[in-house]
Amino acid sequence: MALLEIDALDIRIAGRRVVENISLRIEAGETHGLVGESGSGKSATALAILQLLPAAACTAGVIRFAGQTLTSMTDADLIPLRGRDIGMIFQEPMTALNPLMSIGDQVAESILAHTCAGRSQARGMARAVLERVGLRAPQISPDRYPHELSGGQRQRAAIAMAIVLSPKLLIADEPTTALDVVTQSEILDLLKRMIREDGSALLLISHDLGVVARMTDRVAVLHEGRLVEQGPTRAVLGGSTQAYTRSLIAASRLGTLRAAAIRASAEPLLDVCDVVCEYAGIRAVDGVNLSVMRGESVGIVGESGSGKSTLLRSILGVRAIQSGQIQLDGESIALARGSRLRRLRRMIQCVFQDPAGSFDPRWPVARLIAEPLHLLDAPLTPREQRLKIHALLERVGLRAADAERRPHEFSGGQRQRIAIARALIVEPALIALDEAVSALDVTTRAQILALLAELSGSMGLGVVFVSHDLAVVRAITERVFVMERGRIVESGTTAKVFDEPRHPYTASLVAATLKF
Amino acid sequence: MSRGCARAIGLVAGAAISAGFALVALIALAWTPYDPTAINIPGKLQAPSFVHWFGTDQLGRDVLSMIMAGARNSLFVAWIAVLIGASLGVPLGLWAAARGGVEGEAIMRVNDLVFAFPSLLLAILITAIWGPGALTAIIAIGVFNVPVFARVTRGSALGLWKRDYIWAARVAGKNTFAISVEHILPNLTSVLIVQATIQFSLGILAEAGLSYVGLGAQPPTPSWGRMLNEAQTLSALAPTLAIFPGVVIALTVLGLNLLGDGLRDRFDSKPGPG
Repeated sequence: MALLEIDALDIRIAGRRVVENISLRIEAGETHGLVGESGSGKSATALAILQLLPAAACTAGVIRFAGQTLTSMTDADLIPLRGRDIGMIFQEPMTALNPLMSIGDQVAESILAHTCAGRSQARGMARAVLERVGLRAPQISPDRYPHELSGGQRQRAAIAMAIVLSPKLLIADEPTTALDVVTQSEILDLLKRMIREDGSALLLISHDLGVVARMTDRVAVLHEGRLVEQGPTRAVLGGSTQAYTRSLIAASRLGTLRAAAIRASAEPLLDVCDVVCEYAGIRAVDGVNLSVMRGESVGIVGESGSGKSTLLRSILGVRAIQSGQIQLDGESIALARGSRLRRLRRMIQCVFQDPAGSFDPRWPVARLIAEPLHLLDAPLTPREQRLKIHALLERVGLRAADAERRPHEFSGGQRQRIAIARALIVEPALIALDEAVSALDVTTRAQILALLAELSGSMGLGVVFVSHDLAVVRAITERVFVMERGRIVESGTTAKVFDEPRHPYTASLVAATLKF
Repeated sequence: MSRGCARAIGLVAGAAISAGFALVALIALAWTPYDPTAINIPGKLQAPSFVHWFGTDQLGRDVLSMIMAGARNSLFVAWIAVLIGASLGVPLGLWAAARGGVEGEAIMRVNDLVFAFPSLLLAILITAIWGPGALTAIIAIGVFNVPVFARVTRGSALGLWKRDYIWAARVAGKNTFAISVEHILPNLTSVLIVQATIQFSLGILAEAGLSYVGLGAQPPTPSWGRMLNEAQTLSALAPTLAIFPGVVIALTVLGLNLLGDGLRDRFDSKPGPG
């Protein structure tokens, strides 16, 4: 008998079918991946196992766990199962932890809820499990609160909560998506060790094939609520016969998108010299030098907090620098005023990470895209402006009719296309992208990167691409700068830096990047 | 589901009550059953009847007419006070949020200072200078609406300033003023409408309070607060004189609060702004 059996599961939420006829089996001690893009129904399936779907959801089918039929149990019967026999780890540890409770108390809470241990005994067990996940007192005491921990430490605390009672099944929903590559690699190692020591089964939900390849024995691929295929992970990722799986694999393996024929000119466009930028009392950028040639694609990589976003904003001229110089086309953006400043601003435009937050929710697309036109010295006529917007929308793969719609009507990938259109409307020489594809699904990500590569090739557009994702940077940049704690620690051609890293920090980034 | 339903009922009820009082105040501009200031000593202290629905007071004035005329006065004072508060407070809050740093802090500390004084104190001060009247009440209440609007505006605007679309607007070369007007203010509309509704109901309460102690509208202009004051000495003899204006004040404030809360829930659940 399998530990978990899902038989012909159907889920409808508010009349929409999110999961359709999914059947899965997980044996005791097995690691099983559930792969799919957003909207594929993978999280809904996980919540259905715990019977935690919203009240508006309708489910059909049978879910059996260790001989018990979860789908026909009452809430009162389920409560002892949740947390004791089935543990759950969520994507965002900040919201999964109670901000007003110390981590020790939060771990102890689930011990008290499920066992007859006394308070002091529960505290002792909590301390022991926190030590097991690497949060050792006195460095990281159990009395700390979630906000006093880093993202990786918080996820360790969340893992401690999930494994403290040695559950038979651990469900992890995108457990490392919110983390940096190096931290991700550490957390995955930890998770793997914990389930091996406890003999737990793991259901790992992820959009990231690299994570699934590293962690699981078997994998199921979901697409739009349906099961595309399932089988041993190695076989599925190694040589799938299903078209969807193959496209997912191709999109994940990016490769190199830039045409080798396009060569950047030797004429420098952007010159950053000894820049220091302090932000909230911290020296976020500490003496950075870099340059970008006309038409060149350059990457800046580093973990969160390395100062790469702050550097990008000072390059864009929207964050003041304390010392050093930033020159665009031989002129300083910090010193320019009036029409000279407008000319410089026209030369460099940006695309941000969050496709939801980059637009004023009240503005229609046409007005959003037209916002940088404000930088023109002579305004366009309404007709010229309309034609230009329509042409650009089609250029980035949308329709002219989309101009009248509002941002919330578009998907994440479409919104990034709108953001690219907004950046291109003043015909810049350089486009700066801050983690512009990290919130997207792999398929969409590959499409947006292909669009960027095509645009930069055909328009001779320079690109500064800031990201923590080495595969993405490798795909579309020629040169790369590695940033650590406000400093550039290594630079050179992308292939050389990533293949033969010289600085230990670069080496650790490369080593932590998952390949499959 | 039932929770959402109860909220919707609250919103509808609040809107209906508020609209009812606004309508009464509008009608009272043109017409009341009797002249609310006409004294008729022989007909004093009548119980409610079909002739005088709410009865008459110690001077024989028709209570229903006085309440209608009082609604006109109350709503006018509270409305102008909200306008004063919003028209000064919102720009101040936007400015404080946009400037940040020392200037922003300075504005907010002055704000706190104003906040710390009860409006009654200012009303007494103004009365000492210009004498009592509806204008005194308007200024006193309006001045105390300013810090409320400034604070709410600044708080919400600070959150909006961190959004990526504000960075995008800055890269597009928009200055602080243009961003405040084009991006920040429109996205604050829902918050400000809710706050205005709440300040409006507080204004009605404050006006009643000020005229109760004699600092608001002066006789013969009818006002709810003064009706309560005058009814106080007669509460054993004619309790309805206190009950009607009291219930009307409570109902108006309740209606406006229900409306404000209902609007807040409605705006919060909407995916778009915020």
